[in-house]
Amino acid sequence: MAKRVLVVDDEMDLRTFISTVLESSGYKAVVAENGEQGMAKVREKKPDMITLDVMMPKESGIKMYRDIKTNPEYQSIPVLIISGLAKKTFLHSQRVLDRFKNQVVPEPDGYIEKPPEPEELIGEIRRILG
Amino acid sequence: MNPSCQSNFDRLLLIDDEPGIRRMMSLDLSADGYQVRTAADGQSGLLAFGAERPDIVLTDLKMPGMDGIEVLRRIKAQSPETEVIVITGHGDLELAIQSLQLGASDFITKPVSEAALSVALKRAKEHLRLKSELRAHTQDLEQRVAEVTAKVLASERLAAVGQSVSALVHSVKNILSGLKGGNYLVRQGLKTDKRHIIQQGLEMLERNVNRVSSLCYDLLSFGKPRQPELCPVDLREICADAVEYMWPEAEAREVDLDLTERPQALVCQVDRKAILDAVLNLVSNAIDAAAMVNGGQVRLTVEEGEEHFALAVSDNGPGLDEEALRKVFQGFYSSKGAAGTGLGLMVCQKIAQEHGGRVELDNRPGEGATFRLMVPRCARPPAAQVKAKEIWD
Repeated sequence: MAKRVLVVDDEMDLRTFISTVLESSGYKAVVAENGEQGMAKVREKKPDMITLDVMMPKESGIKMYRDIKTNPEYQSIPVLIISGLAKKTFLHSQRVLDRFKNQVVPEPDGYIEKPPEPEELIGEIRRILG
Repeated sequence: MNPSCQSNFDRLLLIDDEPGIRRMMSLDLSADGYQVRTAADGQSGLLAFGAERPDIVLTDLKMPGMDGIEVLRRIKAQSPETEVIVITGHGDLELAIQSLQLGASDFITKPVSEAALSVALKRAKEHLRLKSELRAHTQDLEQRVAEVTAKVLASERLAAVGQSVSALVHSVKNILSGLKGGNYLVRQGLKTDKRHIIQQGLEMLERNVNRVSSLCYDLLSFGKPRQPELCPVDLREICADAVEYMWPEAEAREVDLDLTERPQALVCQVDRKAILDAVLNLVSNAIDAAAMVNGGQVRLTVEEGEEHFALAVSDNGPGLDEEALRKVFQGFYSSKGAAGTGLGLMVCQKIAQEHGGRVELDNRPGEGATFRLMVPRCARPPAAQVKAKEIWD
């Protein structure tokens, strides 16, 4: 059965783009517009992988990432961050939150800075899903 | 400007009813380099004063008809800057004191000694010189304040853009992603011969090309410092124009766009094009909001306040949520995702500020929102614009 990838991004064009890349490569795409919707889809659809935007209204990717990685049920789901934010900035924000909350959250499984190149995107997804 | 401002302050008017004194003093004074004009009584003295505007007036106090005290009072009322020296008879100390209280710069007693007159005149000239310097400094200071204010405003504008650079980059990266995505979809559609994917890709390209144009337009109009070209405009006409322009858009989105009629004209000094741009922006936002509900309505009203006229744009959409409320006047925030540049309201706010006004929001969550573009009933100087901005911030 095709592996299921959850695409979380507030921009409709990005969701369409990433979903099309995924479906052209034989994956099944599920979409969500923000962190809140994303968590609902994680519970409902049990995806094999998540691509996650960071700066989104309502609930950001930073929070959703931590919610996944600190939940024993979901922490094994690999996450590929696709964001306009530099990787360094994202990792820094996570380390600050680690200290603040006294948690250790692992680095994401992959990181792509926007705009994503289709080849890079599919390469990363294949690498992560094995 | 009075030419005496740059002169040596040597233009004199001498008012005395005694011909001998007039002749004697004017001879002496002319010899000292003063340009002397004489008058024989208070009434003709005032006429000469009005016509000549001398720097210094010498007036006798005791004269038939209008006395020197009245002459002094009237000259000071007309021209507080003028130095008036009164000439009193011996022992008229009370009158001398009264004249000082009325603003005379000095008094000399009859018979007039050349030394006393010379000292009084020297003092009067010194007063005039100091006052003139003070005036020049004040003007210079005002000029400098205006220059500095303009610089501060320009740098604030740059800072606003600067602070928003990271937000701008985020916005550009998203547009770029949309362009790359559209490109990919078209290629993919062609490769697999799927028409709907090609279609989707083209739409994505079109949407993001439009986003680039709106972003450029908004950035340009926000970054550009401009002086509003004020002329008297009936604000009802601006509303009517806005309704006419936006009507097709409202119709297409099934939103009822309406105008509150007002019988009398509400005329105010504004830059017509800029205010229309701002109102179009507000109406366009309101249509977006109203289109989210069934039976969407947008209403334009001109309101009349004590100090301001307000162009009010109301919608019955969902209103602004907490996040939108916090960020709505910040650059590059858009609750409309791909549809907005996030600069529209900043541009409106800038236009309002350029008029010495502001934009106010009345938010009714779940029931709609009203944005008011407030412009002062009378055009205000730039200093008032700075104040308006502070109030806003």
